[in-house]
Amino acid sequence: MEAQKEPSVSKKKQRKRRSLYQSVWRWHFYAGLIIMPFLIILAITGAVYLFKPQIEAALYKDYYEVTPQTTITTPSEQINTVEAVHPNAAVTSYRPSDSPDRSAEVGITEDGKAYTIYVDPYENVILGKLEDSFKLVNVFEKIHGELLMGTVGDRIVEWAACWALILIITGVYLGWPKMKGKSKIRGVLVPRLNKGKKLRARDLHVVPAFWISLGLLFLIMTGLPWSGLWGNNFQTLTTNAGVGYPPSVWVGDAPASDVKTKEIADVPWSAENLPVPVSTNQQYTQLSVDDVVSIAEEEGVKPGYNIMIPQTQDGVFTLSAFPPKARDEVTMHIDQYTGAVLADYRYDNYHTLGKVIAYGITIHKGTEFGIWNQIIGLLVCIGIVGIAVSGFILWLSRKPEGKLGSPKAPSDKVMKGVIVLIIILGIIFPLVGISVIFVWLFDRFVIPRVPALKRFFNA
Amino acid sequence: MRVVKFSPLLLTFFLLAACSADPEAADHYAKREEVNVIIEAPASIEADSAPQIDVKLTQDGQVLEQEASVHFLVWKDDNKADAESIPASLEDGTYHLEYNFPSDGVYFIKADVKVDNIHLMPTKQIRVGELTEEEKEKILEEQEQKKQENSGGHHHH
Repeated sequence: MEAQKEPSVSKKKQRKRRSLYQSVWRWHFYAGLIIMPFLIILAITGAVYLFKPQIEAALYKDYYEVTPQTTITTPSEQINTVEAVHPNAAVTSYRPSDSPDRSAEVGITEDGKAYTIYVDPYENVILGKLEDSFKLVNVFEKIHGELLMGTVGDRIVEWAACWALILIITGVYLGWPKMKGKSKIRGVLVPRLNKGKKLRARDLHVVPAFWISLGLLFLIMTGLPWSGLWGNNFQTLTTNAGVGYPPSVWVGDAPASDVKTKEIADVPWSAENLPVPVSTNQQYTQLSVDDVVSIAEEEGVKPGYNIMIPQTQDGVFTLSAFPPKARDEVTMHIDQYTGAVLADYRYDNYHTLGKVIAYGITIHKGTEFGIWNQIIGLLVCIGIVGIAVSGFILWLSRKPEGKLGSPKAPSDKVMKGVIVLIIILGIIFPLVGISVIFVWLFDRFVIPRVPALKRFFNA
Repeated sequence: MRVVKFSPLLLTFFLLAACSADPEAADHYAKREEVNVIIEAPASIEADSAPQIDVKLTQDGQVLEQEASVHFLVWKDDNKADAESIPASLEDGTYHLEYNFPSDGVYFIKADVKVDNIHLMPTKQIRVGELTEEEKEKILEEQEQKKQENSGGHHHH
């Protein structure tokens, strides 16, 4: 090609490409080494969480299953039963039974801890009690979302997820087919198993990584709206701009109950539902949960929802359902004194981005398309662990040679694309931007000055 | 490179936009029609009297013109199951409850209001005559208990 006309320029160019290729390789290596453990943790906990419905149905069979009978007690009678057993607890939520053979759930907080009490609605007896934060699947969810480290853990997960994007981008660049024609797809789409040990190790990382990356990319993009920093900002921006979820579904405030007169304001709110306080003559009382359930029925909300009971004077009853399929989602706010439906947000009321995020979330959780959704999710999780491990093996297998193999760089166009993509990612995801700057400084100024590091990174 | 030039600006914008939910955001999304309801009762009510108890419906600060279907449920103490159902009488846009409170004590009046597909059901608690010492004591006791247990946190989705 061009090389034959002007050999010196071309050689220089090739050297430059080669060194760029090596730095991309180094970046892929940094990113891989740092986030590999997190990716493995996320994949394993995610794989467990995918099967939440089956796991919980098996674990809590005795708490879930009830025998249908001809007479059923009212929600408030069931709540009274719970209050009688836990006189010092505050009742925070009620979840009506969603099928004739399923128990109802009463959420309480007692001594600062949240519990779920399972009640047989026919017999009006308590079947069992679980502390929410110790439910097995919730523990996995907490590791998946914040590594059991609260806000710090949430930021680490978000950061690792964003860096995984850099891994994918640099990985695509490194694995970009260098040969023309038919052999192009070999080594990217199909592994070469009989072309020697080295190529096999490479292809066993590159080929599955190419396929799994599609799934990984999907999981990252659908998982990020959940994250504490980026996700919250993203949700707030889209909600405020009127293109996402309505307020209060994810971010933003629920409407407030109309605290009608000073009759209510004067009385300690905790006096709700009690006989008239001695100091005043009259006041509005909080709606009974029975009324809230009947409103839900009138509004056409199918059972399977949870009712959050207001804990403040101007709070609302919030009826929410996040069932397997995104299009069945409901968030409804009801005035605690009048029963007025203050806001009723169904899937159809989400704007475009909200709908996209909602579908992303149900597919991410493996509920949208039933068992196949779960199986494909599981395969991607196994694949992620696989490519993390095969990447590590690949690195081990090459490290002793002290060489990178044969870096035949693809065109400058692709390289420019990689850099632009990383910069864009750094802008969209501040955590990535900040850490990219640190890694770049390290790569540019520290490594070349420390001989041991230089040798180690083959820079 | 354009992107690089604008990146600090974008980053600042992004960080500044952080964490502030717009209270007006709900205006962009589906709205429900709102009808406000209040139950008016005199400050003091004697036993064996028929006080003036009204339900008023308003929309955007104006008396609701559309006629609503209103009925009342009245019961004493915890006897909700035995509540009497009394249809409201309509006069000049106000819905009256005609009821004679037979004896002293704590009563509940629930107004069940239906307009189109709006269903409101406020309940007001009223005191008729004097409470017995026993009733007052019970109230204070229960209030004290409620106060203690409600010192818990605020639940958020």
